[in-house]
Amino acid sequence: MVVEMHTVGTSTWINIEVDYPKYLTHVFKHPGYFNGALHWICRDVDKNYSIWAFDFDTEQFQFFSYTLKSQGKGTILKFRSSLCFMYFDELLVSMWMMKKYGVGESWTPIFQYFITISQLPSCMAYLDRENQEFIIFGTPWYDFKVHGKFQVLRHVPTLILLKNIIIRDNVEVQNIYSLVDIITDIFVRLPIKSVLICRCVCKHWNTLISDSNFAKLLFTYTPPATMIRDCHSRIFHLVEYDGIAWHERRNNPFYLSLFEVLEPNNSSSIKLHPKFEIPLPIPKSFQSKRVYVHVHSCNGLFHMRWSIDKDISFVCNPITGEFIRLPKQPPILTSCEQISWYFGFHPKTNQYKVMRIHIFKHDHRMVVQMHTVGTSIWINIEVDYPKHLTYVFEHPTYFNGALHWIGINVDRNAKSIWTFNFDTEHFQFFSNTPRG
Amino acid sequence: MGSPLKKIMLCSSEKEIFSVEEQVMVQHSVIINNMIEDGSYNYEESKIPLDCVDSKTLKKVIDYCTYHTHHHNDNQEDLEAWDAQFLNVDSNGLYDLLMAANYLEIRNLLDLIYRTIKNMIKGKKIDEIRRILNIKDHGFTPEEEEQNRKEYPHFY
Repeated sequence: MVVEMHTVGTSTWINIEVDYPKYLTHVFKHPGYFNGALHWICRDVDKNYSIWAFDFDTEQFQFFSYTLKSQGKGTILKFRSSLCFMYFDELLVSMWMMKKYGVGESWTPIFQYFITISQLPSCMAYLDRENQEFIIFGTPWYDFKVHGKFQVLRHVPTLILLKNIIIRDNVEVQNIYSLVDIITDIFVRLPIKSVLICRCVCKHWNTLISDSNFAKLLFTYTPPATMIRDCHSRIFHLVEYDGIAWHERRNNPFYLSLFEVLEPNNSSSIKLHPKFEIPLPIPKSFQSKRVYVHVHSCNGLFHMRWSIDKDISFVCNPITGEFIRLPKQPPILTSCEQISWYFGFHPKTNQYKVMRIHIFKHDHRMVVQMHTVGTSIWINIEVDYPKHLTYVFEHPTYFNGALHWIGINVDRNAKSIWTFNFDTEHFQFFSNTPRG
Repeated sequence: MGSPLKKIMLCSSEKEIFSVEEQVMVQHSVIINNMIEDGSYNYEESKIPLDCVDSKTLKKVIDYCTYHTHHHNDNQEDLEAWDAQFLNVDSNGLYDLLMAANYLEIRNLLDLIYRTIKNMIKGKKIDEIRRILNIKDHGFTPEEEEQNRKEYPHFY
């Protein structure tokens, strides 16, 4: 028998291994806590019942006598500083008290109710006439059973603070009544620049905004925006959607304004304010020329390549300014006809992938170089290039763990879908696209 | 939903009793609607204790719910003007209203306050936000504050 035990406020579970007694045939669920130990009712091969206790101090199991002439179906609980046993037989709910702990002869009846099993509630009230007390007992075997539309359990209200039962510092106490929800509700409505500013307003907001769960939540709220860069510059400008600003400008189409703002000395009311620098230096010799940056975007992250230096590529978050420089891709020695890039996310493994696909049509070969962002290597996957395929469109779409491209077959009218599965890392032809 | 003329009693943290048309509160507050629906409110004896809402704030909350119950057919611009006037309070007053709206689960008032706070923060720099929201103790160490000012000078 293995007991797994977790002390609340620590970060581990410990295993305690015990020999299971051979003569025991059954241990009833729902132990009762009493005096530092858990107590179970159990039955042996001779259909005798006994009590089995696990002591939290010694972390050991121990048996002691029982001698109650009843079915063992029930639960042990503490009542008036004594160990009590509540059980039900067909029509009867009874409670007995073990007046002297561990002494089987000291069982004394407390009460009996006649009810049917179907009426058995999860809490029972008992009016103690002697002491004029109204006592509610929980019956753990029904604690979490839902009665019709209700879930009922016995509860003793308490003001115990969870921070006082924490043993290790790395266990976090959260509170559903805290202001966190209210503040995050406001943050997720703000333009991203204001969120960045709020991060520096106070330490508390900084902690909230820096939390990875907040980042996830914010992402679900953030509508797509537009990034604009003057081809001579390293600065990207973010134009965010603002419901109110759009409403005011409803007679003035946005796309016009968008080009207006790029003009120097523009008078447009849209200001390209939030500026984000790309982490690529422009070489001196290029400074007055237009420089094209290849950008693939996924979940708000960029994979970028300089058109002037093909070896350098980055993954960056333009908003936070963080970037990772990717390792150099191994060179492809023979010339190839088609190279396409892909930057994507595989939710199943939570990994971002950069792919570079080389197609060598003449010898029917294709090489896929794949890099998982955060690792230091590129891997090569070599595949036969299907003979009947003449061309593959550049931009794949991610769906269900696989990338999907449209390919054109030798028979010019036929198009097919071609997939790359991230799990199996295999290419596969999928189906023909609908004709038309 | 109760009959429109029935009244319910709300009790502020100062133990001041406010009598409000049931319909007004039921329509706006999820919590009070639940209380009335599950029958835990007794019209003869009950008063709903709102220990975390002071009289001044409760009065405003009731004003809001009453106005929006009786004027929901008004045109949007008039309602917006009324809302703007209604929320013309200082940051402490706004905070109290936010807490009350959150506690009573008054969705449209919460949204209104969120939007207002959002507009107070949007486009503002750090020093302005601290002043507007009356944030005196930002909790950063002098070194962290210095670092932020160096790193993001245009935010201040």
